[in-house]
Amino acid sequence: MKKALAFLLALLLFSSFCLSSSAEIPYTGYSYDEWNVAIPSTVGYRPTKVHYGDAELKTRFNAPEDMFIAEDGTVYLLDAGDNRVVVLDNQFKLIKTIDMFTLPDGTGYSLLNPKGIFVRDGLIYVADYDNMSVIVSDIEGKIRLKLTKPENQIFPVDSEFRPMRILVDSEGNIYVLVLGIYQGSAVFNAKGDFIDFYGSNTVIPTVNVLIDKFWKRILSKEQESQISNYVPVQFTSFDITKDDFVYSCTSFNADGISELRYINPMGRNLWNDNAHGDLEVGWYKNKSFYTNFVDVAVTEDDFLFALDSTKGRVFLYDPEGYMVFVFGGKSAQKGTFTQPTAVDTYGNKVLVLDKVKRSITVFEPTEYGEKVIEAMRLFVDGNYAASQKLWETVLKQDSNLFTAYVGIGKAMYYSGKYKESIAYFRKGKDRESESKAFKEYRSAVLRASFPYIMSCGSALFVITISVIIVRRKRSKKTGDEFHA
Amino acid sequence: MRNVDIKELGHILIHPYDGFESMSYHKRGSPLLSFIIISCFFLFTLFERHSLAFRFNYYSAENTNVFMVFISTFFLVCIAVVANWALSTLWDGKAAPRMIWIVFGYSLFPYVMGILARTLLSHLCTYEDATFLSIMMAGCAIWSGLIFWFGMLQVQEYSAGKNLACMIGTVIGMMLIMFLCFLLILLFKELFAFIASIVNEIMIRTVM
Repeated sequence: MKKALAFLLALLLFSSFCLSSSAEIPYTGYSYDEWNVAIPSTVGYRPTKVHYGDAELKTRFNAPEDMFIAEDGTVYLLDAGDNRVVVLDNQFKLIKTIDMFTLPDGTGYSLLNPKGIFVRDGLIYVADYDNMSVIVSDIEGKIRLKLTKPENQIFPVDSEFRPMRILVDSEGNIYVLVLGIYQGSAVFNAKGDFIDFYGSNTVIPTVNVLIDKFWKRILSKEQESQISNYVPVQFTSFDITKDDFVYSCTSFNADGISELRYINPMGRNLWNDNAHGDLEVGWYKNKSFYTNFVDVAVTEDDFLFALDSTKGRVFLYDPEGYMVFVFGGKSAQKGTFTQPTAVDTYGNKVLVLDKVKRSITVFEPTEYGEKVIEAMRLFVDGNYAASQKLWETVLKQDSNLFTAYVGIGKAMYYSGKYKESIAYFRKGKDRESESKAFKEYRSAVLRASFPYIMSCGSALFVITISVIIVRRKRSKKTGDEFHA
Repeated sequence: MRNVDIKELGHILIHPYDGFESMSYHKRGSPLLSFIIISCFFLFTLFERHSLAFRFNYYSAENTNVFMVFISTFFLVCIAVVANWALSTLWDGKAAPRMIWIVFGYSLFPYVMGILARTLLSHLCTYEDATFLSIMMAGCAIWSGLIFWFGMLQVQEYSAGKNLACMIGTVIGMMLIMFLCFLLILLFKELFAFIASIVNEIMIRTVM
């Protein structure tokens, strides 16, 4: 009887385990160790819903290119296949569609293969790719401003004005990413006048670049023109923080470094030249699978989501530029994509737009992910003591999370527990912090043992001095005897 | 190895010119002591990789290959000795291989001790004190180099110019030897593959 009961209990336990482990998440989490080798990690974000459009919307989305999510959760979706803008509320109920815009003179204007959308202060900004213009319209579809190719000496004469992505800063300046313009994004002021280029990538000095530079010094002008020119790679997308700092992503850079950049209003990159995305490049059938960033989205706390179209993954970076989570993938399941094109955030949700699946996938942090992000937020703010408890619970779920060890270490360091913090910094592979903690620990030890060291030293000093004096006296005596 | 040899090593460390002169004149010196020092070079390098303080230690324990460490320390010195001896016989140097072996071993002593000292002292140093460690290591390397230079000058009875040429030649000779080693390994690999395939063929044909 007892045995049967035990068996039944075991069966029950096992079945419930099976149920809970058959979670719907179609991908596994990972992070990187200090040698940039992938190590398993707990999943931080899980897919909660997939939206294919509202029932009121007679057709489904048709090849959607870009979306913008306002602070209240209103979704502005650029439905490029049908050349319209679809506005949905935060429950994904249809508010309206804008199929036709009207120009100030009353004539109609329809989009043609638009690529980018941005909304600020009730104005919709659309990068209209095939019409070679940017339109600024209100929510009713009345166009307030239309930008075309600027007739300016700085702007390249021979290139077409094909806007791809667009964003607007708090001053109303419009940043337009134009196809083939490597100088950066074109900046227009609120009146529509072209000002300047902003935030171009830099040419990364690879060996080839340096060799060609050497040859160009030697060769004549004519010969020099035969050598290819090196220009920076154009970035593929960008997003703006509330302080008007811009995050940009590049699909593929030389050596794969600096693909994600954090640009200040002066146009300088503030992030270090780390490699981003997948650090281990996969090869399959003579094809490499480099990370190819297509869009970025920044949260209110300056956490960055970067979307990779090669493997359909979303990478989450903390404000310092270190990777936190990876989620998503490429397949036909819920939570994976076929051809992701845009990512944006709303609250703690992340929304990913898929052009081929014609869907918006909503991700929400798992319980573990919520804790990690909260702890990181506290950690970045310098609130180490508060984050320590969270880190400790997080470590129980994922002992591979280096940041957690460093977080605990820093909390201990700032509360004066230097010796204990050293062990955590070692686990977290943070050499600089470990060195700092060791310095404090060493000076504490020295301070504690200073009386002993000092007394031993002074005793030794006194003994040697007295020995020397005694010896001198003796030699004087012998010397005297010798002389006498 | 006698007590005298250790005493002589101490003398050579401070007075390499006179020390090596009297050693080669009296045909003293201990190849065994030299062997111990060169072995320590290998052992201390391993020890350094394992137990250098965390903040300086960028070696991955998972990727450490003891055989490769052996090749890059002990085996490298052996190749250098062979190359130097081969060259000096062509360029009428006066040293026997035993003497060259002793010079190599003795002159490595400060450097080997430097590795050990760095490994131990690193546990008392922070990042900012790393300069102290690197200056110490540089000092040890220069000391070793000086001993080697005077040792070679003495045992080979070369002029300074010829000594320099001999050293450069030794490096080139080492490269040549390594190249030949690689070639030999590759050729033997091919040969064994060839023999294995023949054996396989015969086995299959006779069994079938």
